[in-house]
Amino acid sequence: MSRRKKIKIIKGGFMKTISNLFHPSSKNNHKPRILHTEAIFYFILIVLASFTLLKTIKFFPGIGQTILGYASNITPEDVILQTNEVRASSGLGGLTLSDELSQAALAKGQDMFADQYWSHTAPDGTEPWSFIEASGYKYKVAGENLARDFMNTSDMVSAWMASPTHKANLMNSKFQEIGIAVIDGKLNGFETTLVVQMFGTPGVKTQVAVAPKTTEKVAVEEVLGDEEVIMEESIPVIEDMVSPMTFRESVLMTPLQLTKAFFLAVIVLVVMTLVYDTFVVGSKKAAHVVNKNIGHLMVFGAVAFMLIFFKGGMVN
Amino acid sequence: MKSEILKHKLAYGFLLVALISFVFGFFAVWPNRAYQQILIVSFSIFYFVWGLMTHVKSRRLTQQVFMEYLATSLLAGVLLFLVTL
Repeated sequence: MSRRKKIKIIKGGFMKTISNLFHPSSKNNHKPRILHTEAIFYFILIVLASFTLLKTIKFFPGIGQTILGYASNITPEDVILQTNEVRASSGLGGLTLSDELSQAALAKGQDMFADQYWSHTAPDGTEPWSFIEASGYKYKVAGENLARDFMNTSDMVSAWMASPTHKANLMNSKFQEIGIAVIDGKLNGFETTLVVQMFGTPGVKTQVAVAPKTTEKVAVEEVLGDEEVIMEESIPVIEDMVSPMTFRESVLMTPLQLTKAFFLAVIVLVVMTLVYDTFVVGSKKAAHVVNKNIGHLMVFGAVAFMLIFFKGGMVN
Repeated sequence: MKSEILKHKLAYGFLLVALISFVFGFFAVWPNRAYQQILIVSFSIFYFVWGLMTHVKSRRLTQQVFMEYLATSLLAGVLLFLVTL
């Protein structure tokens, strides 16, 4: 068989496959193969497998750092500015920056990366107040807000404001000072940006600490009464802090962006086929198929909209 | 297509209202991921039941229709659920 004939056969086979996948005809029971139930189940399997693969990329440090990093433009200055803006909008006074609280926030962030946790309380039971006390800050009221994976400050502050317990900290009239740490590092295998926001009011008479709780999502007051606070001698080391720009400059896309892009590609493929099928079958007046397509199109349209506008980031 | 929508305007109207409520609710509960996931599962189940009900009403419910709505609801739910993890 000549080479030209072989190419012709391959081309013909390829076109038949494409037609079978996308064009409704008697060969695919008048429904594009992509819209067959088995094909939709295959899509589900592919999506699940891809997502699992993405989660395992953390075991390949090279890929993890150069492709799937986290790019955020959050700065401590912006966080303080926007925190004071939301407070001012409710008639509350602005918070002033405390170096000790910032040092405590940094120590907390470093501890989360070192021990790989994302919580107000460390796995060994260390509470946020330990970091504040270790920084030398003597408080009568203190609080902590945490955030991760946000692209910008306004989204992060909006998320805190949308959560009643975090909002309670932001809008607490008892707080006078603030400390912020924005730290890039690796948490559970992925580069991320952690933001630790610590609030406080200097004083020694009564130690009251406030923080949103991880599980119950309610503000909890931990009253220490008149007990004397024991100050730890060790001051958190800050020279190991990872420069925020180290990862931000080398990032190609975030895991969330990659996930969204892939999922949207799946939806676009299904939606385009549904639209094509609707027009082809519609012109043949086969109403029963069109009927189902309209519902599917509405649902996948909504899913695409939600994927596009889905905001990453988590608060704690 | 237009005639199909007009013919089943009540069913599509109901689906549209549910979709708008779902989308609005999904963004309204942000950043609470647990609530978003509950909404996603609820909507997947709703769409599956909606599909079956509309076909029961028109007496065209077959195993193929059942499987098609199951697969479509699952795909939509899985895509949204995974992105919230």
